[in-house]
Amino acid sequence: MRQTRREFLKTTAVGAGATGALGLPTASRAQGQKLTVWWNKGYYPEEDAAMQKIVKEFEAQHKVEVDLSFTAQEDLLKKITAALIARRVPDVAFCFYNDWQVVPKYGWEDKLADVSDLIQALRPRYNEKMLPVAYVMNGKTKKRSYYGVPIEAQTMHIHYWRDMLREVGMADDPAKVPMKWDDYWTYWKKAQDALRKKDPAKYGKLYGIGMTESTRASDTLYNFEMALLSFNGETMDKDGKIVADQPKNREAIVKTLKWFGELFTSGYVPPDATNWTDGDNNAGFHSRTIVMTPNPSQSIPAAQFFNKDDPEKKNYFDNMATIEWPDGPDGKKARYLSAVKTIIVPKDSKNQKLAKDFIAFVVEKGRFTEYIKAANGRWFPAFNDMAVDPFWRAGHKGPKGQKDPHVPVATTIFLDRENKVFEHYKNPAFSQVYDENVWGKAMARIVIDKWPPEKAGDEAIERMKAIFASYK
Amino acid sequence: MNKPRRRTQRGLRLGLSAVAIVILVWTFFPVYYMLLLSFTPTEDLFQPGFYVEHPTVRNYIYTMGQDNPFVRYFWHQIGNSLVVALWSMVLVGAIASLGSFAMARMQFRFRRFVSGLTLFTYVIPSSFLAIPFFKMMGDYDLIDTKLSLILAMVTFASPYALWVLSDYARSLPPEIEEAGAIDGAGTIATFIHLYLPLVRPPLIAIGTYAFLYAWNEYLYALLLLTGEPRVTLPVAMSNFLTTDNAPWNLLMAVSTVYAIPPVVLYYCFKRYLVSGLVSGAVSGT
Amino acid sequence: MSSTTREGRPRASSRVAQLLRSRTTQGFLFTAPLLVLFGAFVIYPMAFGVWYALDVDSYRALFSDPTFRQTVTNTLWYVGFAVNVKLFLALLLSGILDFPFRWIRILAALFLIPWAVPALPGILSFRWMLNSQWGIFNHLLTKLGLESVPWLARHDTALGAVMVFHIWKYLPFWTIILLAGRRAIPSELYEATAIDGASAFQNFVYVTFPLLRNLYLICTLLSMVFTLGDFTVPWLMTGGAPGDSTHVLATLAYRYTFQMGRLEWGLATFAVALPVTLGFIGLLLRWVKI
Repeated sequence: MRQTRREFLKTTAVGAGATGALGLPTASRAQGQKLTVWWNKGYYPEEDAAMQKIVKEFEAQHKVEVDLSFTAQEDLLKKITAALIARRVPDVAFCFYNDWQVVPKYGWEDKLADVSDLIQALRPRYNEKMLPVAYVMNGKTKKRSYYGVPIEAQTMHIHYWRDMLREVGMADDPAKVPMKWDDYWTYWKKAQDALRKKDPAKYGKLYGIGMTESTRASDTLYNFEMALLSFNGETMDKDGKIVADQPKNREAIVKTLKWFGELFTSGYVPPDATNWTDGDNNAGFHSRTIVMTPNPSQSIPAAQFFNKDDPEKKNYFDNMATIEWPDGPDGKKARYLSAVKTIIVPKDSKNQKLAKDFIAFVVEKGRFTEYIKAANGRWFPAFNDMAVDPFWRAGHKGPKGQKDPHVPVATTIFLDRENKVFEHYKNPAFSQVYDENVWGKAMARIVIDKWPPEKAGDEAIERMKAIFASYK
Repeated sequence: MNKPRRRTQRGLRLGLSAVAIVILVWTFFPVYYMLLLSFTPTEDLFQPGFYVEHPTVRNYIYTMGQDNPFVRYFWHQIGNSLVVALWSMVLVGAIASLGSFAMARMQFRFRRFVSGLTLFTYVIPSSFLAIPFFKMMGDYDLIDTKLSLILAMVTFASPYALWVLSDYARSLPPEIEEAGAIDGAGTIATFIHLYLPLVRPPLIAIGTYAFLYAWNEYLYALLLLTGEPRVTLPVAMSNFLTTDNAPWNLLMAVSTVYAIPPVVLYYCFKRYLVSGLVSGAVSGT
Repeated sequence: MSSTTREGRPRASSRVAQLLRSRTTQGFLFTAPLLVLFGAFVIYPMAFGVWYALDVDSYRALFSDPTFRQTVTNTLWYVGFAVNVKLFLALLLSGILDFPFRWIRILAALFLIPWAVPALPGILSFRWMLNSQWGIFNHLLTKLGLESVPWLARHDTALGAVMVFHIWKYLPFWTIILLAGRRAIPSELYEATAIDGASAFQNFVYVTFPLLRNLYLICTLLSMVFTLGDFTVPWLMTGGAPGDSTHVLATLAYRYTFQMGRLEWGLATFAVALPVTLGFIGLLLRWVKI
């Protein structure tokens, strides 16, 4: 049948509309350069808003267009991996998992741009302890170089409910909690017993310690590494060679795994902890079914700070507290690990210079301070000139003049305590060890399959050795 | 003679009723629970029960108003799901009707080949092809576009649609071609004016099937789309699960909204759906 | 205008017209969109996947990974057990739904809801119900004085949950198919056996099942192949936890590719299932005609 002119126009209109609706790649408005930035979605809208503001300022100042998109961290890791595989990359990518997963692995595979020039320019401002995170080995050039830009860090905190301790007459002031290893953990067990006894209807299902021991959570790895440090164990030497199989370290690993196993089976850790994702211990804490939980960032107090149902922020200032990791079984003060969040520039990016300019722009003192404060103390800056800001020592001020019980503790850990960064930069094989959550699996062997800790530890060490061997 | 039969009749009814109740509870309990949770206020979220003490519609209000960081892009996402599903429906309908016309009404040389290829595509699990498909879309620079997802959906929903339509078309009387020929109509005219109106019932069925297929798809949407305003609803919901503080009651409200279109569609077109989908399977043997 | 020249040979233009009118060409044109689609989006990715899967190193890595071995076992259980239980139940239920009572027909209509509801909401609902701290199932168990079970934190119960959900969601669909199969059996056969005084059980064994057998087998094969490639249900229900012990082939392939960045391993994982899948497809091709 012959098409009438009307029908033809209709189809073209539909076609054109469809193109728009389908999001087909239309001819780009070629007006100069365009920078594609993938940024990790913040936990608070204020964080994202601050980044959007920075981007707008950059666009105005440099007269370029920036395509900024926010993605949740798990999704973003997958997106970055997929982009690097398909070689369709953004110009700048910032994911909270970059330091563990992306920089070591893809630096090794020569898929990231060398950003040493940018690092050298920023060097005077840097907290030197946080830099090694991005200094990884390139498997092709066989040389180490800077393949990422570290910007902010997180470390291990322990949060607990003060009001719950008060309810059963236990001392709730962080200064009064015993810091010796055994006494510390027993304290929370006591809290569980006392609360359950006091009010079985309300606290019947309450648990004292929200220790994540699941293979689905990165918290597990953090918990393990902290405990391993407390037991004086090491998995790699300073050159990235595996030393986990040395007798002293093997013993420490087994002791650590044994401790986790006993904690779980003692009945003081929720049975679901072996299936938790990273958010489940948070959920448990917020729902007040756990007295205390270790968490490797300030996201729990920050969530309470922004809780709309608590306008006076009673939970943040009065009911909750943050406390440090206890002294080790040998009495030595805790050593901390910090995970330093890092920005990367893929090697296939066509706008590397502009990307570096963008990163330099973002981390300028005034701008970056605004961004990091919008995250409400969840991250600690990697730059010394920002770390001296009084906010980090004082935190927020409560509506009744209360002191901030959370942010200053984090600052103390970063500035006053012994800490080091995670060791993924030493050897990309370590990323895979984390990918497979080898330690979480070992814990599962002990608590679910009822293996003796020695067997589980040996299996984990063997697996680690096999992974390391495959990275020549 | 009557008494034993009546007793067995009654026993039968009782037995059937018992089974029916079990089936109903089994079928509906998870759905009921999802609804229950969606009306639960956050304070009561962690107290399990069979009914809600203080039901609230707050979760739905947050969802509709995008009033919570987790549902900031709700309307975008449901829009994306809708666009993908509608396009899949249209394209599958077009492709399957064209193809079935040939398969059922024409004798052409490589018909057996097309039949085999269709069956192969139908049976092979789509997840097997997901990763190469993803890489291919990357090469064509179509990642993160709805087009890539639509292409995937159309590819995997067409075989069954073709199967159902062809089967139905084979049962149509052969006179329609002759009627067309008498009136001097060419093949295309016969297709448009005679064939299409006749296959409307199964066409509705497979259109609905294609819509539901695309609406419910998870894996391909997960791989091909990223970035909050561009994903479809199921992917957005699964991202809820990986964050801290996922508000489950809000998630259930979103779930319920997500589940409504398929259920409504299903009930509207149930008559067509069941007969259409089944005929293909039964007579194919 | 005549279609032949004065010498009686067909004109050039009408040769084209004849070609266009030939059935083969027309058949080709009508199925062209289909063929293009399949060629570009099925055959090509398939070839790509197979080509990558020819890398022997991937298999060496795979078979030395304890997770992979566990995954194969899980998949076999999932496909073997869940599918067969589901189809057996479908057979039984289709018998029940065949009764001509009115309320049974209403039941049949409501019964398809799990199939209509998308997988994600259903799975989320299940996960919440199975939560060991605030889930309704454990709540009931403790009310009855029993111990609560950490459903999703143990390998067997977690895998079991995946299987139960699978059955919950897909049982209605296969039931309806088998029901239609039953309805296709001519009633004269039952009338004949009634004359001979056959019981319901004998009816089933001698009339129903032999005629349903083909359909049942095909449904089983189809369902097995689909379940073999199922990603959504296991992934959303357990994500492989606890301890990567509840992965199936599809979820493990995803993990290798997108969480560990090893594309070759992901493709190799699928390739391992290919021989079986192709075998099933071959069988189906012989029995089913489109």
